[in-house]
Amino acid sequence: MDEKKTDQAIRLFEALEGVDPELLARSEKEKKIIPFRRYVRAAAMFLAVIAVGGLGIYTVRNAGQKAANESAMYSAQDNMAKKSISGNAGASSGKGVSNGNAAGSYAEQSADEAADWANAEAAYAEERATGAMEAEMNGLREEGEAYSDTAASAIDSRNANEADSASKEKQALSWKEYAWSGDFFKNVTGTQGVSEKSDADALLNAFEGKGMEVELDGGNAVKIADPYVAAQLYTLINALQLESCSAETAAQKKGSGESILLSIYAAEDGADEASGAQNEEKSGAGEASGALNTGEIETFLLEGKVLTKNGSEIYLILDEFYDFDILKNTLEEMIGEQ
Amino acid sequence: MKDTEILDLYFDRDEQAIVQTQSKYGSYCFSIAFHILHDQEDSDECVNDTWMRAWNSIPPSRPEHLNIFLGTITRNLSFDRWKRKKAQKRGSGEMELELEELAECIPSNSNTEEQVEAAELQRLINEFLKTLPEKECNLFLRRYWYAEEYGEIAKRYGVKLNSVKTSLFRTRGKLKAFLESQGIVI
Repeated sequence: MDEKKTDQAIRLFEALEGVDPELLARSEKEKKIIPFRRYVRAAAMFLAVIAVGGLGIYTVRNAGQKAANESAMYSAQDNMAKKSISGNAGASSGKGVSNGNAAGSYAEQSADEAADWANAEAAYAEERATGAMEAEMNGLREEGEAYSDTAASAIDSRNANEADSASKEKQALSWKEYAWSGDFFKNVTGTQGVSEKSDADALLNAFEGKGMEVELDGGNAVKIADPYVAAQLYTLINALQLESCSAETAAQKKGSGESILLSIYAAEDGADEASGAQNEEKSGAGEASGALNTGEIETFLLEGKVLTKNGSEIYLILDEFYDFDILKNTLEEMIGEQ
Repeated sequence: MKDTEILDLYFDRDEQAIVQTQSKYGSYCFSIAFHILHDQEDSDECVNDTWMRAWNSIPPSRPEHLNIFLGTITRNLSFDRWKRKKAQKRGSGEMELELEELAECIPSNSNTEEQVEAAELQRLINEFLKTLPEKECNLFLRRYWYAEEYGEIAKRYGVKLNSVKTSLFRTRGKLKAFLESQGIVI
């Protein structure tokens, strides 16, 4: 580095002396940057624990309630049984209010008739009581069944959602695994990356002979045509919910002459329905190939890079990034892979 | 001991202030010095000079962030010593590497003689840093303020080495673009 550059760099280094202390204090905290994927996994586990815990508490409470109700029921029955026994006996002994009164009101009749009336009274009372208890039991049973049904449907619904999410996650993982595995880049470049900067020829050579269409755009761009890869990449872009930017910004980036364009062509609409159907079958997600419509422009911002979807093309604009290792690392960082 | 209590000792001109400062921030300041100088003896000297400078400036200063205040003094002393050693063709290459990286941020129009004032440059850099996401800003500061190595930064934040390099590469580009947009000359 020449002396002038060194002096300028020194000036920059010294100028950092005046950095806001708040920013410096913030950097002191050893905040572990949790990768997105691990964050999602941790959040999902936390929610699952909460859900299971809540369900467990609900189940235990409900079981306790039921047990208490049944216990009350049995003790009530027991009491009624005792009452009926004592009622029969109470006709003569006077125990129990109604039985005592009944016995008392028939005091003038013969002892046998009084006993008979008392027994009938007691039996009727018992029947009434039994009937009431039965009604109560029925009511409780229905209520319990209603609770069970609600809980069961809630569990079923939760299981269905979990299965759906798991299925989707599995799909997303498989796309990620393909798109961002070493094989993808290896298939594309034949190497782990291209290290030469500002050498479009090197990139051209890297892509050629890999069974993909290669074309230069503005002298410093490489396009790759692979409908299947395009569909997967587009689906991944959607899954990542990348921030969009304006078409003007995308156009500016594209036409700056300083950026390299990495374009991935999807199968053109109507041009090859067979391959389109094949893509759909392969990717297992109809939205992937179906979402690429000719004439439609959609732009995504990828950490300062711009992905523009224009009809059947997806442009990945790299700001002076000729090293695909850096691209791969950037994307891995985004999707939280370790 | 809390920073407020240490500062009270400075204000009371109690020499215990130095003892407590050394105890609490000795290794912190040494770390900053060593990252720049890569020499134990020189780093120790810079740290001792830091206590003297702090004693002379507190009061009237009463810094809100005592650690940053001390770290800044250490950083300046260490870098001055590094420049002297460099002029004498001594010293190791880590600082050279950081300066090479910072050289990437120099605007392309920095060929005229008219340079931006140091205070203005500081203001602009602060303005730039506040536009950065927290993560990027932290990585940038750990590298170019604290002069930490990539591995240390990666370990601090639990990220991959390549992620640190990638982030710094991008941030340097952004800084260059920002300085160019401001039309300044370094």
